[in-house]
Amino acid sequence: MSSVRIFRKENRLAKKLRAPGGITVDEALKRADQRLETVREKSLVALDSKIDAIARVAASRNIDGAVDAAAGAGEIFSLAGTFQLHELSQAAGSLHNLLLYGPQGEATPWDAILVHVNALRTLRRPELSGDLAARTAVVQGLRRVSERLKRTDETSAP
Amino acid sequence: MSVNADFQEKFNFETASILILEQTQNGLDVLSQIFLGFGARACHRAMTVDEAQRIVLKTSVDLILAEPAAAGDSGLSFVRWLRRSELDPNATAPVVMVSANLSTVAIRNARDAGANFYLAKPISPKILMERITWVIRDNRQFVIADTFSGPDRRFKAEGVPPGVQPRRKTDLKSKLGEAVDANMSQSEIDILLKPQKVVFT
Repeated sequence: MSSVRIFRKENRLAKKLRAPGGITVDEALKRADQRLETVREKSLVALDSKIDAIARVAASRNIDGAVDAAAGAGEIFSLAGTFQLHELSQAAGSLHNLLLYGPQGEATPWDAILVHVNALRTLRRPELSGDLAARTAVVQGLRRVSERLKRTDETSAP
Repeated sequence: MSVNADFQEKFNFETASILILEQTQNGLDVLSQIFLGFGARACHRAMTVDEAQRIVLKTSVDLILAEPAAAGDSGLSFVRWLRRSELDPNATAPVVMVSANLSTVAIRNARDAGANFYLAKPISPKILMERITWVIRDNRQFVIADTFSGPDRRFKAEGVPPGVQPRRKTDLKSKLGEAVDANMSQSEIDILLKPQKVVFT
């Protein structure tokens, strides 16, 4: 017969966070934003290098590199979102979905991936990629591509 | 489905010990800078399960943030190992999974590995603070069983089946009668049983 233990543990984090002193949530959020700024440049450099890496995989149509490219797209999605590059983040999310849920192997949709890579490069520089409406339109177009290929893949699955 | 919290509420992170297990240096940088901004001084960083294990073996941690896919899918393995480790107090430390993968399978796996919460990337300081507020208000019991170790996964308050003796002090002992009040909405239920969302106002 299996044994089950159920017990209540002291919430140590709550106890520490509620100790006298500390700072208000408002102040904590401001300071966290300031701290994030100290790693913005480094993060954006990393983000550019991830875009370059995905571009190399797409240009060489290297099937073996697709998994790493998907991971890279996921990282761009996360980093760009944290640094308020929202359209870039969404475009990377679309690419991530395309690489994970789109056709695989020989059927990998390299042209669609290249379209995403070019969009990532453009959206990386919001000052060069038009106003919000233009950037949003680009993201919507990418999502349509990604969704269409996903459906195609699902319907062709055995 | 929200619980209001106060931007003027004070939190003291100075003595809190945080472990971050992330698969990339940039991910580690982002999370640790946010915690340093919150006032934390002890931010332990790990990119591999080995590093994370070494930290929890020698240091007491109050909160763990782990990317489930760190080092393959070893972030999940780390949480399973930790929950079974019997390390006191770390085995029961709150774990927040942080991931861009929001599939039902991924979230279920994290829950079944023993995570307390699942936080969707991209991260922002405000979202992270909201989830920390969830953690400090989380009053779920801890369960250790043959197939699971972690915070109680049950959110429903149901009585035991008819004819079965209650096993726990918290089990409802009497038969539930017919409802006399109007049904609660899902958000009312969530607020009653467990804070699902905190919105700073």
